[in-house]
Amino acid sequence: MVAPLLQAEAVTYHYPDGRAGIVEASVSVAEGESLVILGANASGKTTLLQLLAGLIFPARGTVRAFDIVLSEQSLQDGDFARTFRQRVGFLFQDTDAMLFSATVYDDIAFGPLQLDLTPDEVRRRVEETLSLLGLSAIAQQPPHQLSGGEKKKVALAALLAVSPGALLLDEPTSGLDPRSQRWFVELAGELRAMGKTLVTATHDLHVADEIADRVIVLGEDHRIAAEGPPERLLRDLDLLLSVNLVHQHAHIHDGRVHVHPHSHLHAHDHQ
Amino acid sequence: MLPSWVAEAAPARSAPRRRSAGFIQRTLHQTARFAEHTVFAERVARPARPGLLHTLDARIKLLSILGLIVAATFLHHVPSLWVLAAFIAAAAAVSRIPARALFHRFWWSVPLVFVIAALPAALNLVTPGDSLLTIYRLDEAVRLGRLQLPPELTITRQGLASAALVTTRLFVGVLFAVTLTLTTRWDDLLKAAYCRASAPFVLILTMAYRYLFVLLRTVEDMHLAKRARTILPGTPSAERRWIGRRVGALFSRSRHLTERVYSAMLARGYRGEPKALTAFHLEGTEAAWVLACAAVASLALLADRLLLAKLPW
Repeated sequence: MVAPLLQAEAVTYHYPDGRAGIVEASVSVAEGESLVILGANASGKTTLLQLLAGLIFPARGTVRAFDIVLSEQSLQDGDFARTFRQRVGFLFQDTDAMLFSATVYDDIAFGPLQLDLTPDEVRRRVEETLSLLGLSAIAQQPPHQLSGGEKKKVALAALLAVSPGALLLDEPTSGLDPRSQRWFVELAGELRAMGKTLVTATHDLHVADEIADRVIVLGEDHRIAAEGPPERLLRDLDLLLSVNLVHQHAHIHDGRVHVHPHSHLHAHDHQ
Repeated sequence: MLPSWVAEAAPARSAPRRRSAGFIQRTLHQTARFAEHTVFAERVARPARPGLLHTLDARIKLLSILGLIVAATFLHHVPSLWVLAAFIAAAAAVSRIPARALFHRFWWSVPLVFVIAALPAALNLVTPGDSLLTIYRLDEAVRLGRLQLPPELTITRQGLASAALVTTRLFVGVLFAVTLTLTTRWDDLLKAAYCRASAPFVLILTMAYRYLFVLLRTVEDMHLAKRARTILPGTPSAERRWIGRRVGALFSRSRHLTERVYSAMLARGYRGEPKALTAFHLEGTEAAWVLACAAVASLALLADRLLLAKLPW
């Protein structure tokens, strides 16, 4: 049996101030699949992603990558750290944190430089990535002069330039206009077709519906509320209502008050 | 259910009286102006149609301008310093740098330095010599407490020449530095200073510059949020308390941002060893520029030593 690419076993994480980040969560990510972690604000999506990315470490439970326990000690090993960071990329929700270099070009070059590629190879990768995402015109701009959508694209470009096999994406469509959201969904489709593994944290049901092979739903108690195929979970209105991903909506039809869970994914009959 | 007072309209008021901007507003206005100037400087440093100085390799430009500044310190006559100033001004003009952008930043500092730092050197107390202008002459010694006034205070010809030399040297040095920063973006300038030993400092400075803008925007947002909800102006002590709290909040935010940035660096494979993509290109233009700088500096030094030194002044 092939070991999962990433695996979290009953992980619990608390923030330094004692607040729970994630509680007793077990997740397994197979190579090549597209997993979507759905949850309301502050349900623990980012925490779970950061645990899988080896950026924070659980108080209880274990996280494994390629069947090796992910810990501060294992990531001290230069060879393992380099292999892990090359194979697992992370897109931060806060693009200002992710774009720390002076120009777009330097930001995209940062990751490939850490892989000890030759300068020519780094330049080739950067230029191809810029061209792939249509960012060549802003290559020499500093990040503070970019719009929110451009920053998101540059952050994705910075991630793709390393060419990781697994991409952990934290709210990739937040702050994007509808056209850019569509662009992201199409890009995710292309990445899946190339065999990349995607783990996407979002509360956008549309995005989940379009890109997920499998969905994990986090509750507001920071525990996993459900796991399964998107066709089943995204149509389970009671579940989505209980985890605050859809809301009750009241309106009047023919003089009578009509109440139903509201989500733009679902049609409902007024008869 | 919303409380009923939410529906109450605010009372109409007469036209506002003009008030002078407070300390916070003035500070934030200046902060915003700083950001504007910096963005403007970045645009000037990398224009759509780059000129001669813009296209030069940043490392060559940095070294050549440092060389010219060192040459200026060896010159002892104002006319030879003007030769260097004319050379860099001509290079700036060829590079289509607006004269206003070039002089706007420091025109006020030259007379200021002349009055505060250089003018005392023109007095007979510092530089004795031929008197040009007598400020006062006393027939007998006068004491002001423990201070004994000199019997005569004059501006001397030698002193004035010395003050003019110091001021011109400062002007030329600043002109070089401004030309360099107006034709080289901050990140290119930092890359020009990049080497194995300086790598950590270059990384820190690059990131400090990058996040200065993020924090400036936060400060501006905080102020706008306050203004949008301020009905009556606060007392000076309340304003000071507000500033103190915001400084604390900003410090806390910047600490959290630092943690997130470090996580982002780790996630992209950073292992404590800064690396940068630097390109060092020495082509025909760079070689011609270096030769021109060397020729002008040699000409100025020769003129200073051989021709000007023989003049009576």
